Amino acid sequence: MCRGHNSLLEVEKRGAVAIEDNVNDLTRILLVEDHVSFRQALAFMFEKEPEFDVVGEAGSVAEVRTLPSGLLSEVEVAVVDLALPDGDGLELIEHFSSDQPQIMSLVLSASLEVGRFARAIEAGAAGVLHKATPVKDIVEAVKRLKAGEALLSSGEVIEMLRMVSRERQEKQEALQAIEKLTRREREILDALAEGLESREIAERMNITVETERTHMVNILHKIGVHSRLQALVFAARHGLVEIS
Amino acid sequence: MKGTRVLVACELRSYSEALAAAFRGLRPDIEVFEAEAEDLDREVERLDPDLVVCSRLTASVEDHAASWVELYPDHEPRSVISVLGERSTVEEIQLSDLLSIIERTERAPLNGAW
Repeated sequence: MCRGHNSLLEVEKRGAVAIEDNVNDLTRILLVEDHVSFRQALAFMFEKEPEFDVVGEAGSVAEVRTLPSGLLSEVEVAVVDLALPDGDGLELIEHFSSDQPQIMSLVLSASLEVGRFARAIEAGAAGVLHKATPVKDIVEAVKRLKAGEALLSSGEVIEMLRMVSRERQEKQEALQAIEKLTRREREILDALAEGLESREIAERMNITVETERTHMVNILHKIGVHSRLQALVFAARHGLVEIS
Repeated sequence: MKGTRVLVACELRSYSEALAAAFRGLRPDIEVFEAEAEDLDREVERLDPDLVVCSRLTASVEDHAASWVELYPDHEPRSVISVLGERSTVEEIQLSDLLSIIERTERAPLNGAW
């Protein structure tokens, strides 16, 4: 009887281990994407595979924040769009990194801006994919993350972090340069953004063309560019002027 | 009798593939084709689809397809649809809406008048 009881226990234990193994084999996924039909189609594709379980979906940062913490604690891979209607996917990735460190974030974005992807890596994303990627590769990326594989090499991660650092430094230098501009020089940049030429700017500001050109030389020197066009691009990029 | 034909040609490949797969899985009785966005007009001419799902509407789609969906143009959340000539804008279109459009398109008169 003792042996039979032990055998029964062994069978039960093997069964429990098998169930636990099956549960552990399942990759629990959270989809964060505001294009609902695409998100639902993607969920359909993941759910077709026996190894995936889409445990949650959200279309915004707010929706993610209202998900039960119990649900979030189950998530292993979050597929996150960066462009969400109420915020940046980056803040979600940072939130997951700090509050739900078991979540591996895979960015899936239509952005062509490499810097944005680099900032996602800095925020803690485990991988970045463009939405032009075939779905089979997206699915494969999730499988690889679950298997503990790195989607990016150390070299790629380092390069991205360097890119973010360079961007941050350039931004800082630009802000310092902007602070050196005088009020008159900013007015000239505004006029430039309206498409005015040198003579027109001088007329508007009641100065001579020579004075306008001197101001422009000073502007170019302060912001570190070599032409009016580059000055305009700099001013637009850093929010000094609005191009309408 | 030709079965209902759906052509999916979004600018983002993952959108086309995911939607096409969902259509095939949920409506195994219809024919679903995928195309690159730049081949849209050519594939419309070739396949003569009943429904086109695309990122950017073209004259060829309007002229040939009984129904069409301009899905998230310029990555906006709204979509523009035309079902048998009846046009409307849909915010946050769902997969079930797209399946409903397929069903409504199937119910078009057999003489093709729409």
